[in-house]
Parts: sequence; C-alpha cells; structure tokens
Amino acid sequence: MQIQVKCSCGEEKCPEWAILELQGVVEAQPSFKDRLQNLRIGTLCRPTSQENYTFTVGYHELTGTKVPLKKPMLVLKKIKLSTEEEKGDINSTKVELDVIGVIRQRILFKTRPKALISSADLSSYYEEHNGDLKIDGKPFSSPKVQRKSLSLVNADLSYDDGCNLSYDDLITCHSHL
Amino acid sequence: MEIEKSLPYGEGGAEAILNVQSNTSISIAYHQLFGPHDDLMLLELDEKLLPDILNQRVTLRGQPDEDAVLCTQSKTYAIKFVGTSNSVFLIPPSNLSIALGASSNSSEKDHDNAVVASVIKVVPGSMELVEVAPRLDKLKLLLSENPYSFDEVSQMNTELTHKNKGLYSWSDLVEKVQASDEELCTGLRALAAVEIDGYWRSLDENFVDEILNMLLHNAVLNDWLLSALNEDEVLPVLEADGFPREIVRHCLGVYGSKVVDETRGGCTWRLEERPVCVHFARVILRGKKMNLERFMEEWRKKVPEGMNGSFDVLEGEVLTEKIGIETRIYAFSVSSLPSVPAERFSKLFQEKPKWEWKELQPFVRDLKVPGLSSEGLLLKYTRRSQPSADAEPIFSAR
Repeated sequence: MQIQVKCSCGEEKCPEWAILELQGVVEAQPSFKDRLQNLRIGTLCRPTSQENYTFTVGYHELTGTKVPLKKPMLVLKKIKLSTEEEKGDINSTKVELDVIGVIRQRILFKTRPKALISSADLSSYYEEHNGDLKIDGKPFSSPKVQRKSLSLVNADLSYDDGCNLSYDDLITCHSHL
Repeated sequence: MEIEKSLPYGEGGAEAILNVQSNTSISIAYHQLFGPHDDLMLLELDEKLLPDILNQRVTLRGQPDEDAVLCTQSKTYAIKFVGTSNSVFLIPPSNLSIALGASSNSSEKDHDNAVVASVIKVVPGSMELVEVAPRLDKLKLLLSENPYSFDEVSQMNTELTHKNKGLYSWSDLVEKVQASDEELCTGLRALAAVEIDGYWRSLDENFVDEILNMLLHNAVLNDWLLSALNEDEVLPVLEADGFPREIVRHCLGVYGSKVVDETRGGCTWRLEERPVCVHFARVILRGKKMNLERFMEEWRKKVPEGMNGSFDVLEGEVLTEKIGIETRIYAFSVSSLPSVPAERFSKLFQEKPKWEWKELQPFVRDLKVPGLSSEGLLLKYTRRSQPSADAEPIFSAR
C-alpha cells in the first residue's frame, strides 16, 4: 500500500502556520469544556522590540521567546479517497497526505506561570476583560493554566522515546494521547 | 451561531502571531472549528528533504500491519511519533478555510480593531523521520514464491494457470516492499531478477544452471571466447536450444559484463570468473556437506577452462568445519541471510558460536545501518575476546 504525499499549495507558496507552546494544560471551566470554539484563551503581547513575549491566560502570565525550529515541520492533512468499488472494505480506503502548511518557528513559554496578584495587575486585568464575552448569560471565565510535573527536557522527547508509527495509525484516525 | 456573532475581534491567524509588532498585543482564541482534528498531523523533517516533499516525490509505504516508512526517490525513513506533554497550540493562517474545506471564515469583521489568532488544535506531538536501511528481505521472499523455470518456458502459453500466483509487477512491489525506488532497483539487481511479461522474477537455480552449461558447451563447440561472447552469435544458438533470448541476455548480464569492442559489431560480453565459479560451487554443495579436497576436485572440473577457481572467490558463500582431521565445506551464503543486523547476527551465531574476524567479515560487510559504523555494529551485536595479545580476536554472541 502506498500513501502519496501531495502538496497542493506548491513549493513557493506553502503557507506558514504558527505554534504557541507552553508547559502544562490550559483548562476551561467545566461549563465550557465541550464548547471551546471561539472561546478566548488569552492575550499574547510583545512588550519590546526583542523576540520576548508574554502570554496572559486568566490571572496567570507566562513569559517566553520566539525560537526558530531546528528543523521545519510540515502540517499534513489526511484525505480519505473513497474507492468506488468495495466501499465497505476499510482496507481499500485510499489515503493521501496533503501538505497544507509549514512551521518554522514557535513561541515557547517555558516558565512557570506567574500569578498576576498585585491589585494594579488585577485591576488592569478586569479593565481589559470586564464587559467581556457572555455566553448563554453566564459571565466569561478564562481557562486556567495547570502545570504538569513533566519538565521541558522531558517534553522535548528525543526519538528514542518515540514510538514507531504503524501504518494503521496513519490510515485510521487514532489520536496518540 | 450566536457565539460567532458576538466575537468582537478581527481575524489575524498565524500571520498575526509571526508578525506581532513590538508594544502591541493580540488575542488568542479557540478557532470556531477547534477540535481534535486527528487528520491534521505534524511532520518534522530535514530542510534538505523539503523540496522532495513539496514537489510530490515522496510516498509512505507499507502494509497495514507494518511500521510506516517514508520513501524519497533514493532513501527510506522510519516514522516515529514523538509525544509531548506541553500544550502545543496550532494556529493556521487566516485563510485556513481553503485548506480545511470549511465554509469561509465569517469572523473577519473587525469591531474592536483587536487582532485575533485562533487555535485549531492542541497538538499531542509530531512525527519525525529516522533514516533506515530499506526492508528488502521481503522482496527476496516475494520473488522466491514463483521463480521462472525451464518448465514455464517449454510450457509456452498453453496453460498458465499459475499466471498470477506469486507474480509481482513493479507497482505490486512498490506497494508491498518498504524501500525507495532506487533501493528497490538495487535490490532487484542484487537478486538477479528480470522483468518477464511485466512481472519481476527471479530465475530458478536449475534453469540458470542449464543455461550456463549450454552456454559453456556451445562456447567449446563454436570456439567462442569466454572473454568476448558476441551476443549476435550466442543468442540465436541458445534460442535454438529452447532458451529465450531475453533470459540468456539477462544471464550474460548477471554472470558477465559488457565489453566495449569496436572491432566486432553487436554487443560483446565477458564471462566473469567470480559469479560463474560461485554458481558451480553452489550447485555442487547443494544440500550437503563435503570433504574439502573432494569438493575442490569436483569444483575445478566444473569450472570452465581459463578460470581457475581459487578458494577466495567463495568468501561469503561457504563455511568450513573441522571434524577430527577432516575439513568439511558446506554452502552458507550471505545472500540467504536477513539484512536486519540483529537477525543477521543471531543467525550467524546460531550457525557457529565463535567466529574469527577473517571468517565473519564477508558475512557482515554488506550490513549498513545509517548512523552506525561497522565497528559500532560489532560492538552492539558481538562480544569480542582475545585469549592473548597476539592471538586473533574471536567474536561470539552478546
């Protein structure tokens, strides 16, 4: 079986995608868990002319930098081509991978989140967020950042810890989490 | 959608993130299409592979139960999934709708002049590529299913009931074998395979033996020089004996090499000593162990005149063992061994627990693992011992 890797955008014009990476997990309030679409996460700010950034999520602030990736990453989209004969047979489903974007840098936040506790910070936070989105009449609640115990070294796994990807994984839609 | 209407931000996408001006900020939100999007995957790769990918010269190959590999024109890469515990927010460009086939993004409106970049997915990790040796053992296996034999030739086209059984065209092989096009070509050459009626076949050993014997026989009869066999003379003679021209020409290529000879017309071939001598040794040793002297005697009789079968050409084809005062020889060909290093060494030590370097070398020198030297291979898979400083080192299983 073969999976063709296509590139519909062409070599010159492969659009660049962006990545924000932070330690831990951003969690929404339980009432928003199932409908995150369009929910605001936070504010990305570049305070100076350097490639330093802050990312404010709820009352937490992260500091990070924009770093070029050592190797580029491609964004692939799996496209199922249904074969006309044998439609019922899963094995006959042809799949193509389409390159729809390239990623060359990421903004990486590797610090512990800092709580914006000073009243000045908080008031500016509320100034910015009050009168905010209201969904179904409930006040908007920002997601919170939850640190996981894994360090960045562990997060930047080398391939020794990577698992082999079976062909099946590429054809069916497994999530690897 | 209510939510969408109430979103008071303009749309900036990845461009906005990549070009944040100093002293400004942008909002980050979940995309209106935010979801698991299992069909979106990230692939990390070397800059030098980008042109191959973007020019669509790359495929993934394998069967559903195999680990996937990615093949360029010339190389094979294993694909590994690298998970991360970090939250990786993937942000597409603002015109993502085209790529995802969704309806156009209606949130372009710009109520507040605030720019928003939207996260389409939290990525659990990415795939990366590790160069590997092509997996050609399967090619060997596939071609051994139905070798081309004299029976099939003499049967002509009468009843080819087995027509499609164990027969593989190029496109079948590409679907089944995990190797790049170039590596597959090299593999087919190494197996002396030939394309017959659109299918890649290996030749039955008996059939090859008949062809070689017939060729040598006719060379004597017709005073042909083994170092200058003229195709225009050789092919018609062998064809008259029932051997198809294409197959004979293929054998000339396997057991000889083309000679540039402008004094004689047509295509001229020189029969090469090594493959011819190895062939006859194999035929003699088929299925049995022999006393070394007796073998040498028989072998020299078989080898055509002008070629002096020296024992060296059998490197990597035979093994010897001492039983009492007798030395016995038997066929043990490197080409019959697996090409995966761990399996190769396991077979070798199963055959013989201890090897001297001189013996071992012909059976491991073809092993190539990207990123590992041959010393590295030995360190990884063997134990080296040296009884005294000036003694030959001995290799055994780890």
